[in-house]
Amino acid sequence: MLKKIFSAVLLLSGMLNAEEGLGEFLTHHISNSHEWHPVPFLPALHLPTGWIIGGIDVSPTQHVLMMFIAAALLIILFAIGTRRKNNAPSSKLGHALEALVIYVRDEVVEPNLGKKDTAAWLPFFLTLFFFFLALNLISLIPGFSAATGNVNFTGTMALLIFLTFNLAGIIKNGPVHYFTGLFPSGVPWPIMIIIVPIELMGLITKAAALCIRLFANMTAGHILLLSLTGLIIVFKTAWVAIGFLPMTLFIYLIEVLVAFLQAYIFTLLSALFVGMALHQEH
Amino acid sequence: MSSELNGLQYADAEAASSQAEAPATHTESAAEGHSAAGSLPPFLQFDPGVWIWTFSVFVVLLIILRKMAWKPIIASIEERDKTIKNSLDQAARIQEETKRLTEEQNKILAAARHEANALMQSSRQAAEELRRKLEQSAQEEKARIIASATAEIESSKRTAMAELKKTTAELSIKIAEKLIKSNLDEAKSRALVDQLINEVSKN
Repeated sequence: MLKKIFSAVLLLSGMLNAEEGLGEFLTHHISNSHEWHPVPFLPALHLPTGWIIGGIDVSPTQHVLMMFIAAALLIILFAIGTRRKNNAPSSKLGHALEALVIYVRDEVVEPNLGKKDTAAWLPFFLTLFFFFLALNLISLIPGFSAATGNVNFTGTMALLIFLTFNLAGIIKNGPVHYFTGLFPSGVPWPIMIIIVPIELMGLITKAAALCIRLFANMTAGHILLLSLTGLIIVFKTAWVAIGFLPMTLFIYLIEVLVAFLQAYIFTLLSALFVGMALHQEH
Repeated sequence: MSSELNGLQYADAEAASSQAEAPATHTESAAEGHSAAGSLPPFLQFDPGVWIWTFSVFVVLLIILRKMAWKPIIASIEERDKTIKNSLDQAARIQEETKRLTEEQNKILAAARHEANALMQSSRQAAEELRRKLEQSAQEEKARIIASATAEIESSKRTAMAELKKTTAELSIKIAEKLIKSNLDEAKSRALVDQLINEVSKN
């Protein structure tokens, strides 16, 4: 067993030595690119380039591929997990997925949106949660990368949440009521001069924080794992594996926790923001 | 939003660099963008393609999963929750009903026991009464019989005594008659009297 691990590490180190240095190695592994190299020594999968629509390069990248894989995985898992008999899932997978679905409903969406709005909003938040969870978890498979660690991805999702909760508030409360509801009432006007920009900034900061939190957490986790692995490059020997392998395993397990945690936090905060926009009186 | 702003800066930088040199491949242009941005590493670069893909993949996934997974799963969960709630309600109702029935049963039982006790008490009283009455009547009967028997005996005795007196008188007269008729000596008279007495006592 140990011999196998060591030979694997040696192989990996052979691959790593091709890189210029630790910094390059890290940057390369957490950056998006147009190729995917899932298995060492086998040729990399080159994704098509040059898809330009309206002046924007929309050629699929590695992270886009990860999104496809995660989406396909979710569709397959739920195709199996949705099958049920007598109102109960007919498979263990179904039970596991249902537990998460019920958790999202009872602990994330319902406390923030209230019973009445939950039914309409639940599919959105469930998709959000499971998409993030799938992306976070597949990023931990060796050879896969973290699309949730891509600032463009988290930025899109944060923008989507920003638009969602503002639109939800405007549709539910009416534009005038919604925007006046953002600011505390009964405050003298000179103070409003200070409060209005602060509240507006707060609105934008909420979404920006969502973007940065997920991106930073996923990127940091992967950098940590890669740094520990990259010690081989620093010390120019695979023997350092004796020291860092248990450590890497430990961090890896923490990353599994973080995968769940970050998906949960993003969904929870999104639900909170939507809930706040819908029920401004609170 | 700050990331978006950074990204926009990036896009500008990238655009500037791509204008200067025609981009051959994406990786090269990315590298140029990186060098143009200087301090920012490539993984922070703005990539509108990823934005478009992320949004599309998410929306498509939302539509597919909503139809395929969320609706049936949530409907099923709610149906099950309802069934469970109904079952619990029913169980509570049945429990209450059982409690009520048990109480009623106990009440009926207690009433029956009370009634039985009363019945026993009253029948015991009635029996006692009857016994006393019977005893009393028996006593009276006995007294009456004794009294009548005593009267009977008394009257029989009286009759017998009268009969005896009558008979004695007749006998005395007969004896006197015979004594007078014979008119004999004393010895003879004595023998005669003895004879007569014997005769009388024989009668």
